Amino acid sequence: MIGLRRFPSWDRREVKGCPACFQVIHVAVIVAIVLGVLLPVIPLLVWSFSHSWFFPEILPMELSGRAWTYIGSPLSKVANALINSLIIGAVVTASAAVLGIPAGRALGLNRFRGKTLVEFLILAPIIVPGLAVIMGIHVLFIRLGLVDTLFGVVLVHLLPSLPYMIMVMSGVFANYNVEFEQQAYSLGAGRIRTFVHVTLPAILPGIVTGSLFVFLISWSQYILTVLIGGGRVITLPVLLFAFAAAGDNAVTTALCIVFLAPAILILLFTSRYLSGESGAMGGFGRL
Amino acid sequence: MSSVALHQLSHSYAGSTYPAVKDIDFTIEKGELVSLLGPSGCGKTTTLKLIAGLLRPTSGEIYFDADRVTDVKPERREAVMVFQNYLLFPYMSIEENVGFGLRMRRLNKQVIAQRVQEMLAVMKLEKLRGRKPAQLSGGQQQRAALARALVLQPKVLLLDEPLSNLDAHLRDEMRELILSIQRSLGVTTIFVTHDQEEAVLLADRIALMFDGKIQQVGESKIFYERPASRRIASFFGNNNSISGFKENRRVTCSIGEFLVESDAAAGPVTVVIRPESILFGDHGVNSFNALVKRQIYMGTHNRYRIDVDGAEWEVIASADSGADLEGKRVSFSLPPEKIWVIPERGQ
Repeated sequence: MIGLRRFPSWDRREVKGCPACFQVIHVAVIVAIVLGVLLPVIPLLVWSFSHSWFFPEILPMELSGRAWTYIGSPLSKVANALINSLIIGAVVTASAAVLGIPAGRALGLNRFRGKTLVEFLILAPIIVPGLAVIMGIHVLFIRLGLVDTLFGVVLVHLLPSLPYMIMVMSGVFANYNVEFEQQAYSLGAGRIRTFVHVTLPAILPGIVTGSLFVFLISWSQYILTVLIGGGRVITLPVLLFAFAAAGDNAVTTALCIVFLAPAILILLFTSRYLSGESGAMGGFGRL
Repeated sequence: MSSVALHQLSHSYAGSTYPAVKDIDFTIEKGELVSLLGPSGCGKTTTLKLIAGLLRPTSGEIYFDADRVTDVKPERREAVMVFQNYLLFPYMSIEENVGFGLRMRRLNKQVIAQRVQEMLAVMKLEKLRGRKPAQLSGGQQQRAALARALVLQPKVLLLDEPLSNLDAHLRDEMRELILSIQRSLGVTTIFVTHDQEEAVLLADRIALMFDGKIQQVGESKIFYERPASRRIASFFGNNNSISGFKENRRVTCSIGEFLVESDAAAGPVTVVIRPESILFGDHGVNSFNALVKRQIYMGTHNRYRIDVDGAEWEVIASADSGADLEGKRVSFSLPPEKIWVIPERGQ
């Protein structure tokens, strides 16, 4: 995450001897990183346009837009799954922010008895694999009538993602000076306006970072969605696994690209918040 | 402008058994410039935050004029606090910072622009209006923080250590600025400081705090001439004190018997005398001998450290004589009218 924007963190001007060599290394490393991210996408792209492609051939024997036409048609339900995934991702992210900001604030600003235990319990869903607890959750959700519903899937997606939001926000608030809020009150701002005009700008980079984690975790969730959604709630990963199991490589790879696109788009739009120049993750800093 | 009255004001922080502020009774007059003075941790900033409404008192009441404001939220209280670290909002320009409070009051945009403009002119910040706080020096930040508070025309201005983050020469400048603005606007001002010199130079009256309580209130002069306790004398730099027992007009202590003019009641007392009131030589009354441990030439005067029964006293005298007294036993006299006698409170 850190290396995304402004590689390298060491300063070229401080390097004595051969600035040109350094420049070359600098460019080479950036190229390597970009290639590392993009190269795997190229075979996917090729495969998605292939009609028949068997072992000894280096390139497909025939090209065709069949896969793309198919996933674009209502028949494939890809559009539906995409919308489901986006809605679930957005609701999970918003819920995680609403829950995670106050939780992170409490953890970041205060010391209290049993804090270590609370932190451990918050981290527990990351440490314990979801599969280990999902059966119990499944039974519970059946009793509560939450299985096969979008809401149930949202809840279960919060399980592995919320800890990341809380962790990020508690880091932000550990570096936050509450007196800025007191100053705003004293200058005549009420609680809501203080939050909007003073607190929010300070913690925004943290919220963006945390939301990114949460959205991508929800976006790539398969097992939890399948078990709690019960086949009724179809998201992109669910569809992807179905096509992969059916052995249709062209459609599967086309779907993979659809699946990758939002992640890359989000990274591009939020990368400036992830930069070292924006003061880590915000929080004003205590003087 | 309004007066501020504190009645039996106490505050304990959650989880703390000791009250940070205890039973404060204090009235600040309209337009007065008062200093809350005390060492760190004495509860002076807590008192300021109570007046600002940023903390709720555990007990007691606060009045602005005749209005009880104890339960009024800080944003409606018309007392504006300027924090020690200025706390300018880092992502807003200086102009936006100064206009923040006016925007929160939802004033007309033109009115805001005009008042901000006037305030920036008063504070000589016009050229810096577009800058971000991080691009300003400490003194400029302090002026911007003051401007942000004063543009609201508060009834009460609360300053937390307004000079402590500034360099010495900036401190003089800022002190004069605060004084002239306070005088011209007449805004009731309470400022907190740990520096007794700052309080003396700036305040109409000083309220000295130790241990969450106000110990003595008055003009700066009385803290030097009539301190209420040995600790107060010492806080104001005077360690020339010794315990004794008073009967009639006499105090008996370990270095002798002294005649005093004090009307303090008979009993255990502390005797305090200012360094410049002690006379060299035997003047016939209240004389004693002491070893001069150190003689320091200060240009206009000499400063002597003398040993008085194990305690170190300070004597200030004219540098005219030029004699080197270091290491010698010399006689000193205490003029009876200059001796300040503090009755020891039974503890």
